[in-house]
Amino acid sequence: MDKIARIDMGALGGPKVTEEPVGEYAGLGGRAVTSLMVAKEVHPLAHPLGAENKLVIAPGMLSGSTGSMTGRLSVGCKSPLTGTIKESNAGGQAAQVLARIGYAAIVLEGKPQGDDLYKIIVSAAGITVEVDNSLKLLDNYPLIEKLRTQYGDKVAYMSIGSAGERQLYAASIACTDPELRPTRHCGRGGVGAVMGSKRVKAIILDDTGMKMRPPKDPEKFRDANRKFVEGLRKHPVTGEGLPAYGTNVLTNVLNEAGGYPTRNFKTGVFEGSAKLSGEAQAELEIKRGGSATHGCHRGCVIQCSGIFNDKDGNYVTKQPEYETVWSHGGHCGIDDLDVVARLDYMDDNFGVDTIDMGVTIGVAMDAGLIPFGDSEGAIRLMEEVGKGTPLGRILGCGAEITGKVFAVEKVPVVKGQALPAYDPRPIQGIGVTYATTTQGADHTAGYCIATNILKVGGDVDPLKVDGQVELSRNLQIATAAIDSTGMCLFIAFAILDQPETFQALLDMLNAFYGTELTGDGVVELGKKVLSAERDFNTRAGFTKHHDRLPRFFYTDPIAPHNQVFSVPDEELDQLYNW
Amino acid sequence: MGDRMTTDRYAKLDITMNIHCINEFSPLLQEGVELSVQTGGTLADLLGDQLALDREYISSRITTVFIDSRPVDDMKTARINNGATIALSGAMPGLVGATMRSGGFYAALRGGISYVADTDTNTDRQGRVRIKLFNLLLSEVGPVLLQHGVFIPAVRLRDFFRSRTDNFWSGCIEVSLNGTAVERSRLTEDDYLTPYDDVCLSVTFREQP
Repeated sequence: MDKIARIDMGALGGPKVTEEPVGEYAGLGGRAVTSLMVAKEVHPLAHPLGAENKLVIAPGMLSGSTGSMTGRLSVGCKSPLTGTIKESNAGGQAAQVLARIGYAAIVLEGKPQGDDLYKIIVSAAGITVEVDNSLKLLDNYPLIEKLRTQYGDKVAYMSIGSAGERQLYAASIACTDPELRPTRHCGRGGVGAVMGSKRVKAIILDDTGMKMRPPKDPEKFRDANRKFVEGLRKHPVTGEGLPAYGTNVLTNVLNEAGGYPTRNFKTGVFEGSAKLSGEAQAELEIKRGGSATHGCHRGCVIQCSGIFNDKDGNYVTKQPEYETVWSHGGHCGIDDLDVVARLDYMDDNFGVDTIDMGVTIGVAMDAGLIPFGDSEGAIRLMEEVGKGTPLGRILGCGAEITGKVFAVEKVPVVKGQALPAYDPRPIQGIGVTYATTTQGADHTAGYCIATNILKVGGDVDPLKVDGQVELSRNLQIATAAIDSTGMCLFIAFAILDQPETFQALLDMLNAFYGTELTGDGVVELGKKVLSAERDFNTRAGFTKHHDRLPRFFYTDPIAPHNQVFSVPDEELDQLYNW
Repeated sequence: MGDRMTTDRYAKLDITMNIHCINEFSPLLQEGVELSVQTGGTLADLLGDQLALDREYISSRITTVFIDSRPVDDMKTARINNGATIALSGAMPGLVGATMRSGGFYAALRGGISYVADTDTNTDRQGRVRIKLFNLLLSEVGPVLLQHGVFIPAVRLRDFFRSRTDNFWSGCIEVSLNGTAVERSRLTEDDYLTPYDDVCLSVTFREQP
């Protein structure tokens, strides 16, 4: 990972590839690379779908090595959905393969004239960009099937579906999993639309002839990785809960807490939640010959995913995540896992973010387009997105635009991005993160990343009733740092509870790079990334007034706890004071 | 919890099941079953003394707890009233999962809904509580509850039996209603269980040859 490739898609005479040394981005990965580069190089007032925007694709610091859980790929740009800086990441094989080929980043720049559609082939021999108009308007599953006939099964693919080509604001970028299914998505913020604006349909990553990236100190790296894996395996969340049930294990608990947003955030309890639960999902998957335990990339030891089959045992989709089951399920008043799975497949196939699409359909239900609970209606709306009809284009641009078009008063978005599956009224702390993150409403922007061990912001009394802003700040700093390593966020639980596992992670990084990174260094990296993102947003015109939840969260109490969001604006405004 | 909590119109249903069929009862357990217990004590005592769960197991595995939808931080001080709904879970992923954890580092993030001990608790009375089990606890605590005996509305239990597949019925070894052996097929009949308001279901698991 000692070089960066820039592909000027708008160059005279056709796309032009240049390479440069990794330079100031040496030793960085993931979100650190994408956000620092976008903040430095993209004009903050650029149109997100214009030539001035850039799409930065970066593997993690340890991607391509033998280290476990190192397969996250970050994609960054100015977001068409939020207008802010954006980092969106995904699992799958792409990060590992791209890193082994040797690139710290691939940067798509400019914008071609005309309607030609391109594919980019990245291999040890270099990068080629080819016109391939036979791929036009193919959705992700048939697209990958077609590409496999030419490039085979020993590569990784990144692609956009029809939604990305149409530059819909909720469009995602798909990364193939080990079975070469386009199931892993950089979903949030419309990054697929930016790739579509560059007229890039697919990136084929071929690491033929390349070896695993070697650590500076192989023995220490091997030892640290072993301890890291042991830590993950012995922890009840990463070693038992996630492998058995996946992230959807949260459905029952959120519903029990009264924090499960139901029918467009009208109540915190869904009567059909048990039918959607991770426990029910795992049972169904196993009974139908699928699997409740599956890794999204090689080298994953948590295996939080699965395979969802239909009643006849035929593959439908990968195991839908908790947020997907919620957005297409309880948020829409739907309690049928088969319907959710079908919608998840459609999301992946068309290439749209499952959270934004599900929330959008719920907003459309609130607008009266179809009733809450109308499963067939939800599928019909998704089909509109796939067909690219005028209605489908509106829906595919997310909840905010759909809400405006259909005059919905209560639209659950922050900075244009849909709220995920946790109501911020009973769980005020997550509302602080939704409101203040640089990314728009995002549950992963402030993850439970061992702030206790890192001592980000000093010691915090865990049972103090107030102080959510302080906690959220610390979580956002720590998350920005972990996102920069390219490690899967789900390592959080093991490093939260087991200091020795966190130390093993630091030891892996240090053994690999020959550095002496400490917890303090991790914190500083997180602050550096967040500061750059915040600065970009400020230059793009965002102020403290954008760091607010939609008004109805302050005025409409939600059952069963009958709470409103009550963190004062003045406290929210303190989040970036460090 | 309504009148159902105090009714005496219940049947006693005993089932012996193949131990490999524990997960078949998950739909009942995750939606909740009622238990007749001594109320007024702490949740720790309910689980440790009345249900005889190992104290070390309770502290290490039951890490997310709700009483009446409120996350509980200390099972040793949380008191159980007649009619309470208790939900028990293993450790949860995600920030919100960590936030809900009993006494967890991020408990402040949901401070507004946290359980606060009731000072007016009546002690030492027989009552009923509803217990829900989630995730890893379904197979670990489920058999304990089912062996203890759980109260389920007859119509709900009949519908549960009707939803079971061959895997359940092939693992169903013996059935008796009010002490009399019965054919297991009768459990799904329209008017077999439903004349009762509730059924007290006890399940014993054993290895089937």
